[in-house]
Amino acid sequence: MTLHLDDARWRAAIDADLRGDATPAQSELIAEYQPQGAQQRAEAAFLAALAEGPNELDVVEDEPLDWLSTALDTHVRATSTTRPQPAVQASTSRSRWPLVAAAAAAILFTAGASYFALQSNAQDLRLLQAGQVAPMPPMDMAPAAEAISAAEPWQLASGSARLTAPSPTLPVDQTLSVESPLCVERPGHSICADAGSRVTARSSGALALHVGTATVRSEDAKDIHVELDDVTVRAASHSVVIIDHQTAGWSVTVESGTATVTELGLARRLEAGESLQRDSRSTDASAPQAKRTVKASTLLSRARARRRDGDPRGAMQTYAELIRQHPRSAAAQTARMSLAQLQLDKGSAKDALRSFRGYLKRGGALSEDAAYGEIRALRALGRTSDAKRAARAFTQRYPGSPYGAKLKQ
Amino acid sequence: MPQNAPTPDRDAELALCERVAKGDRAAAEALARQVMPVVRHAARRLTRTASDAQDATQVATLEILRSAGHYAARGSLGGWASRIAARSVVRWNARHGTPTMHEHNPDRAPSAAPRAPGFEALPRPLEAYLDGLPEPQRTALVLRHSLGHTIPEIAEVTGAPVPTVRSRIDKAMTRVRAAIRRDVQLGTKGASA
Repeated sequence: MTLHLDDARWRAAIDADLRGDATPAQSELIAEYQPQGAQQRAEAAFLAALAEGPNELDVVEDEPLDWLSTALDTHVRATSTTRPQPAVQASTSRSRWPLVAAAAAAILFTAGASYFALQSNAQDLRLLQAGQVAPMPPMDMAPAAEAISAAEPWQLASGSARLTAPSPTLPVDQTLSVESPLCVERPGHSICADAGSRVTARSSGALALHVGTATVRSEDAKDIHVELDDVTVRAASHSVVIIDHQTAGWSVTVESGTATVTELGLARRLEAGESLQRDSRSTDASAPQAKRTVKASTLLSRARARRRDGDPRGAMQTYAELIRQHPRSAAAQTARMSLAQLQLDKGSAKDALRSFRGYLKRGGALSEDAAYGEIRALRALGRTSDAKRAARAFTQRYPGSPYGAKLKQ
Repeated sequence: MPQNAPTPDRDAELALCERVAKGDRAAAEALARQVMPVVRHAARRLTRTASDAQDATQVATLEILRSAGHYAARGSLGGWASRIAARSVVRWNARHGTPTMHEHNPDRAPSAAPRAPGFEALPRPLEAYLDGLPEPQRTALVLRHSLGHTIPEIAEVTGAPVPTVRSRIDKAMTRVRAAIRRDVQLGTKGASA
């Protein structure tokens, strides 16, 4: 089989493009060139077929989708916290099963907890067989319905917290700083958080304890869910559980009743008098490495959650922690860009410059954005001549960049 | 970071997503139907059977509805939905496992259009080649070339380091080329579509 010289260049260009480091000349070659050899033409057809977008098989228009109705009902219930809701209908049909599982996961856990629950399912099963951990709640409609019915607003009972507007209830998805010991309650449930704690009421009825200490009491048949970043604590009915969550780690102590702690997808049941703790800054040399560091993806999810919750400072700390713990990971590169952007927004141009350059030093798909960020940081620092020099280099390197027009301003 | 100003269409999409986030059922149905093609496309590409694609589509759709409040109209709604769908399907695959590349697969997800104009040079349907790849290689190649993810994005979605992602894509292409070379040499012609 003859391999044309241009076919070989075209193939090299394809490989570079797939790896994300094609030069402009290679991109041009890919766009313009028609391979000559039979095999290369077949390869081109493969790539064209693979790149093809949605087609007629994917279009639904008015197609009736019975599962979609269930999905919509589930979504509406999950987003509503005020109206009484009917229980979700259970179904055994195969096409509804994954939706049911996803709905339960969506309502019971944060996205991060769900992710790790999915990832470590196989490990769960092994541990269950060995009797080492308590079973996870079955992911069917029953717990979902229970969680929905429990999603009543938390009433402010005593203490004070900084609220953006006067409210008798804890606003949903708004992170609050507790100024003096704060107690919130709803029928059969109460949670008291110490001063200095930061909490967020979730629409699912769960409470996120970002930092601080809380005493959780359940006096009726329903469980209470408390989220600690990637850990979920479920205080069973008629239980009193004390939860402490600090930057250095967390602890859960059961005073009475039982609680289930789900960490990275593994559920552990605690009885009265038992406690469980994790020290994320442990320096114990005998501890396995995995215990001393948090997974990069976990830290990234945590940082994004803090950003979503309107806590840019917490997000910046978490991004920095990610970079410190996993400096060579792909997530750290993503974190460098996000951190740089936040630093620039917060007026820390010097730090932003360092972060943008940290990204550029290692390179990546966002190099163009990082180079532009570097120029913005230099401008913010008043280093005009450096900024102009960097802008000239940028224009030469990225002649067709959408940032070009902004640089001229 | 490019901060494209929302267009009138984007404004409408943004408003739609805000309604979805507030629990508006009609808006949720409109959004689900609007993004369904890209969700189905991602699910078909990333799974190996029609029933898996259907299941993954449902899970991904629910994920998109849940995430509607985070849509900021910085890019197209379709692109945003496609990324969420891809991430969701990859997780779904991780949980449920997938048939090995040699497993007989009668319940194959239907092809995109194997004999569509321009694809005649491909000896067999696209899926025949994708099915010959180990799952990590297949996922990396599909995310990169079919769904338009960057290498760092693939690294983040799959939890693999950037060099590993690049290596997987290289290996995937090497396998695909070997299969195509064999088919071309044997004169394989359009095995069943």
